Amino acid sequence: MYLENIRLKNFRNHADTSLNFGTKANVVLGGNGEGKTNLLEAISYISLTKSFYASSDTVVLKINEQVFEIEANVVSDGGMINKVHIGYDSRSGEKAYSINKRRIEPFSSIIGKFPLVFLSPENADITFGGPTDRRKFLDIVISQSNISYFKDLSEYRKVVRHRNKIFGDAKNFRTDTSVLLEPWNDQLVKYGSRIMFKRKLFVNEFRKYIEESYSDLVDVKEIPSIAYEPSFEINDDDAIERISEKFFDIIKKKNQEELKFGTTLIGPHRDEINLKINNLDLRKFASQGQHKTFLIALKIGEFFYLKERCKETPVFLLDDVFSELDANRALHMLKLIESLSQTFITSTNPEIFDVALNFGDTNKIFFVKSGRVETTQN
Amino acid sequence: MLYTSELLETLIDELSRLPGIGRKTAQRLAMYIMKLPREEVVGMAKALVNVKDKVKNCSICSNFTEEDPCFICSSPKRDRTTICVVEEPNDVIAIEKTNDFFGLYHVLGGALSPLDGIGPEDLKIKELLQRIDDNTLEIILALNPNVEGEATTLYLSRLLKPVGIKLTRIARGIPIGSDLEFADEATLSRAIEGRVTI
Repeated sequence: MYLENIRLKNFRNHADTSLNFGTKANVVLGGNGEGKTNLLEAISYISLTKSFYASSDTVVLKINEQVFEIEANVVSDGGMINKVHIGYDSRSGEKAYSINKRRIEPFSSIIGKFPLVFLSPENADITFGGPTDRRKFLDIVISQSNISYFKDLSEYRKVVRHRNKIFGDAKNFRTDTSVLLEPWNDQLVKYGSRIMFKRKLFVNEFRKYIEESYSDLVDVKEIPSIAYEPSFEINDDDAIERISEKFFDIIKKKNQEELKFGTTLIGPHRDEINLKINNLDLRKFASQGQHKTFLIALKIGEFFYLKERCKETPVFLLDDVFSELDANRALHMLKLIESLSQTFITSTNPEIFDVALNFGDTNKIFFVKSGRVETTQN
Repeated sequence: MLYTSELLETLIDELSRLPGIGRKTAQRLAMYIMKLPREEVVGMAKALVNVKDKVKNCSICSNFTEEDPCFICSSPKRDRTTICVVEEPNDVIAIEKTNDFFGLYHVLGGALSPLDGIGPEDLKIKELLQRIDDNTLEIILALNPNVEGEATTLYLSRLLKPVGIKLTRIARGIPIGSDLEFADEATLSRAIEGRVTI
């Protein structure tokens, strides 16, 4: 897919901005706080019906306005033009998403139709941060390609919260929990096993995507690896039923411990995803450069995975990532990504793009100042 | 802060306590009520008080009723061998509209939800167990398809299995009149999960 154009009305600091995009690299330049990232955020609305930064729709509404609109022509790989329209009215709190004037409901049904791969400096947490950050990465990729995973995940989270509440009450009031817990144990296992099964399947498939993209990025012989480490042991060939059995067993064993700590100690919310280079733990042994390369490899892997799964080429959103990279690595990555798909890049520093890209119809450059955008071409 | 009259503010406060009504909507409703003819407002107020005074829970099924027992529980035409268990009185209305169910109901008054502090003792579960007798042949669990409804279904099924009567739950899946290809994956996988032999 690619975006032919976009129009923003009262979105962040853009009162009314219309842009025609190039089919490859679109570089958005400007100082801090001028409205570069807001453009990427609007694109995330098209793909996910919400912002990847802001938690609510009111946050992205221009100050003193009541309605924001996003309009875009999204051209699918098959050449079909989707006229996407998103409107939000703060007075009623209502948001509507439509394609070619047809309302899309529920919003979750849009997930995976317009896939995107997003990279920002905060993503460094995937390799540097804790297990939560890696699970989040996994969840976003799997959800985009498998909507029932997304639903299992939200049901699972609810079950964990209910279950933890029972443990908490038990601690405070010393009530007998066994009868109360049973219906929640059943559901914890049901949704939890499905999530674990899909994560295991994903990691095993995703491994080859990372290996390939990593070797594209570095000349030296380094072998990256990714491994799924759930909160209790399962085998590679375990079916969902087998995982459920093991899950039930471990719940029984851990019951006293869970009562003592007052929280759910096992399940996919405690999973770890281990990243290694040459069999050494990335978090303990890797250099800054290896971290960055690994992260980019994960993102390019994500791109190819989604492309295959969603049967649609994702767009890349690169938010201010080039300031973090040395010139050589940046150039390498830019060339690679430009050859793959339409890319939106924000940066404060124009120099590296002059070297790497030829600007014209397919590659365009935009200058943003206080929510107004100028194009150098046409 | 007082912008208009104290009485009007009180009305707005009362209205905004209703579920789904925010401060602004409450204001709009209050202004609308101000503009209505007096007799219509009196009618509305009477309806509110009447509901509170005259409508009670049926002592058998806990559905809302003016007569106790309710017209469904006391009707000789209903099939007394089947009890359909639902969460709220609204669910009774929904099922009654189908004109396909002729048994009795039992309204639990909600679903198990530890986060909201709703445990088994807060639902009409004891009452359900008490009304099961030799005439009862089947209990249908018709609870909402969310984690709370599911937990309640699982809890009740454990409780009722030893009683030894037929226990069923309503099916979940593809809506009537829609195509398989347009069903979302989650619904479809639930439908496959709940498949029946033919």
